[in-house]
Amino acid sequence: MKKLRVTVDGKAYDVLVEILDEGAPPAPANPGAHPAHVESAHVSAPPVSARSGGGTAAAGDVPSPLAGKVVSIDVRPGQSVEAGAQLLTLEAMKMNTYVFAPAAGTVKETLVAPGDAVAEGQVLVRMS
Amino acid sequence: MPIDEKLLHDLDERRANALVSGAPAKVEERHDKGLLTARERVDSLFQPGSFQEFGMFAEHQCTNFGMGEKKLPADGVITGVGLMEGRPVAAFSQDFLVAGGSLGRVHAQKICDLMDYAQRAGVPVIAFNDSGGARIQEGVLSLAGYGQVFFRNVLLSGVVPQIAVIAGPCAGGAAYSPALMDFLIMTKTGASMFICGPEVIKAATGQVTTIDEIGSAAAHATVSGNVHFVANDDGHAIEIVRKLLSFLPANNLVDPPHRPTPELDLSDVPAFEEIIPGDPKKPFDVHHVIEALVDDADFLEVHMEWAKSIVVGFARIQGIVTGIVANQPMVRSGTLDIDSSDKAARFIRFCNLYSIPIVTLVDVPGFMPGVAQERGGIIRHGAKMLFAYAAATVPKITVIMRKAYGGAYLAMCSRDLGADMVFAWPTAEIAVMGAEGAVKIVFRREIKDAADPAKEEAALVKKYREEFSSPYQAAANAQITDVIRPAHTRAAVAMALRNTLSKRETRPPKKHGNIPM
Repeated sequence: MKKLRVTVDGKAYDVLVEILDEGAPPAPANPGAHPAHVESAHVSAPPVSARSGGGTAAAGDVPSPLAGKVVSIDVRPGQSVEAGAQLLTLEAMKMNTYVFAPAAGTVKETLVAPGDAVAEGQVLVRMS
Repeated sequence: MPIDEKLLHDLDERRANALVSGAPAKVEERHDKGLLTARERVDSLFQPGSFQEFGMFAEHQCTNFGMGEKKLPADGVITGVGLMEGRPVAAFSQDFLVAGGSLGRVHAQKICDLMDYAQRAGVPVIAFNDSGGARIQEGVLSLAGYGQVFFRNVLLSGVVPQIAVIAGPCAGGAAYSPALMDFLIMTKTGASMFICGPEVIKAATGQVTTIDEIGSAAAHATVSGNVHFVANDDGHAIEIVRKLLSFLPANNLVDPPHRPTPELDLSDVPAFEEIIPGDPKKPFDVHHVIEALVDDADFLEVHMEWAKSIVVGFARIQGIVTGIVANQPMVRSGTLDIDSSDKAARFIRFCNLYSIPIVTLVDVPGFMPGVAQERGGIIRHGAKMLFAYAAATVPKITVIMRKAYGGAYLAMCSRDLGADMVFAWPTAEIAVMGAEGAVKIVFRREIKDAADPAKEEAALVKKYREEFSSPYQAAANAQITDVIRPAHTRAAVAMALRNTLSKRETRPPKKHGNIPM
């Protein structure tokens, strides 16, 4: 039941309107509470030691994620960097690929120069 | 004459004993380690008081090796059905406090009975795995038990969603039951999963390794791809289960829980135009595009840490449950490789099973070149993507953001593989191959005969790029639905999903296709 006021030729009438078939109320955009955002916990790949056949990569070695060409070295030896800092830029498949620091630390040495072709897995930077 | 009080008292006592797994002291020990008991895992999954247990008083029948004397409450596994957000869900939870959660004949039968029930009732199955493995005293009956569980995993596959939580040890053959399920969630610490452990590997091969290297959540979530989600602890694992189920239907015959907004919001989202860099060489994080596209930027990413050159996961777009498949230009140039093809193909097939529309976001320069890729079988792995998309009959909407070259263009749900609508941004480059490569082949002679070959080549590359590395060649050939402003993407995709939700497509009947493995 809804109470309405209708004005006709300046004269107001109060009317009661009963809505017989209202249908279902429109669904709210997101019924109930917004479900909280949930995501998988972050983990990084456990290194495989040399004794289990994992090669000779040492802790702090940053390998190339793919085969490509070095475009630029974006850090200097001796520089301290945060985890996730951009270390260098590669080009492959006509796209730039950034290589980031896996953890905070100091850049010990850079092993490649702009223009070098690098293989997947090749160590690019040593960090400590 | 009222009921004999003794009978009720006896029942209460039996129940109380089962509730503490017959070992109250060990329950405390477990709590001290920050672990939930098998029963607490089930209880925290469901709405309070809604768990109906099957077979609390089940007991093993084994008499070998003095087992006749041993009481194993519920035979080491809690099974039953309860309510999650008002929806019934079946669950079983192996009880490590009872004979190390080892699987004997009755234990297996309880799991099988529950799975049979879930199939009849059409409800999802959640499996908490925490078991030392086969109950050796029960011999071949224990082994048979695993086989019966595997058989049902396969029967239920594609009928009801199956989610495994690896919350403790899960070794040897036991690992194959979760592997046959749809999603695996593994807790960061305390859980391990492997076929052959470090001791066996050492004895057989001489290799020295650790559980961390081969069987931890980190190893499976980043390297092997066996695990879809990593949980910080039991509680987080249960949150992930709940979130995952919020996108899934109870079974393959009902719709996913869409919550269509009463009105479609067709407004522009300028963020899309800020995300896409002006320089076509510069990568961007496709997560930003997904966040701008989906409701509340709420995206449940599957396989977040594995094969990261492709991003897959669930979200809602103006209320419609959607599976998102997106190239990630930040990782390995967004190329399709062996692992990313496997990851996407499995996700696409899951969406298809449960009527979840698929939105594909494309920026793919091609399949990953390399000796390891070719020798590793990129042909048969990449073929899985083609197979999965072509076989999927759910609504398929594709947005070509940037690069879409060659076979990889086709593999990312092109019109030819059955996309219902394909939108392209003006930045799209849809072509059989990149300009540099194409010009070398098409104009080999012209370049060779030119007075200045390098200059001629550069000019031809420029011309090719203008003519072919754009969305308009594809649009002119009616290969795409429309070229849109990036800001209009959310509106276009939301409308496309609404318009296509009633899609039905029948294919010739057959047992199943022969997807390359």
